[in-house]
Amino acid sequence: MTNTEVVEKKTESAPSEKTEHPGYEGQSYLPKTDIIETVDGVTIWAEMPGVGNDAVDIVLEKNVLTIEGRIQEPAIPEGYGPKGHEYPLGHYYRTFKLSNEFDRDTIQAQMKNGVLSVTLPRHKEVAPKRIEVTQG
Amino acid sequence: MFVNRISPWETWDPFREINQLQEEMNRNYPSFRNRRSASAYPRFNVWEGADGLVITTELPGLTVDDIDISVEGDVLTLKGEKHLPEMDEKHSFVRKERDFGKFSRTVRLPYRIDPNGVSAKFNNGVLTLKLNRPEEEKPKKIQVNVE
Repeated sequence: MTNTEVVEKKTESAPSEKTEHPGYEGQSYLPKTDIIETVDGVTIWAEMPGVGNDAVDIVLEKNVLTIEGRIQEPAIPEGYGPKGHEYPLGHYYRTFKLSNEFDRDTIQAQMKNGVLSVTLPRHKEVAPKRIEVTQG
Repeated sequence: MFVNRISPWETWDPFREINQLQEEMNRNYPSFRNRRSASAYPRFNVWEGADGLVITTELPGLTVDDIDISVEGDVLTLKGEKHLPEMDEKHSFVRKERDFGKFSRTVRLPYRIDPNGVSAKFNNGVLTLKLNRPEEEKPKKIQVNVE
């Protein structure tokens, strides 16, 4: 176990698989996610292509962080009909369990080019301290 | 001739051509077989209308500058590179599901595309390509006059 303690609630589900989600009509999928630990905390990157800035919901309830994204369907010109589909369309939904070491008041989120980034800064007092080894 | 590739008696299926191309590649380059068995990247959704085709593909994390589209005759090539986000030196991956790096996908379309009739939009990580056929090659509706 790393010291980040970002644990997923649904670890058994593979990314991009269908998930049960009560809120939406239609399918929702687990966004492919990278979790990166830095000196200051943890950043979550979740791929949600088709989701705009205003269509993301990030909810922190107790220690569960939920990200939801509603896709905007591509604008297909009138009179065009589907001819072949290699990928499915659906909304995105994923939950993460957090430890208490993050500073809830300073969590930041940004949506850019279909990728959501959520930055979770660590509490100052639990941020790892660097101990210098002095020669002497 | 491109017209010979589509039998007039079958339902038109753009992925027959794509699959054929993939099969040819598998035959010629056996090393491709395992790598490409899952699916080609990036994946395409295709629509067809009076002017030609519309193709959408999901490229999250790319910018317009990372995408390179070229059309030659009836061959569409989409190239790109997905860069790792900038991070400070002392970072480590706790979970890694996203893929990064260069990609290229070439597909043969069911007909020639007018090089001047190609438009591309990139919105929220989704690329939408509109590929119009040359005006003189578009199918024409013939009116039946009732006397």
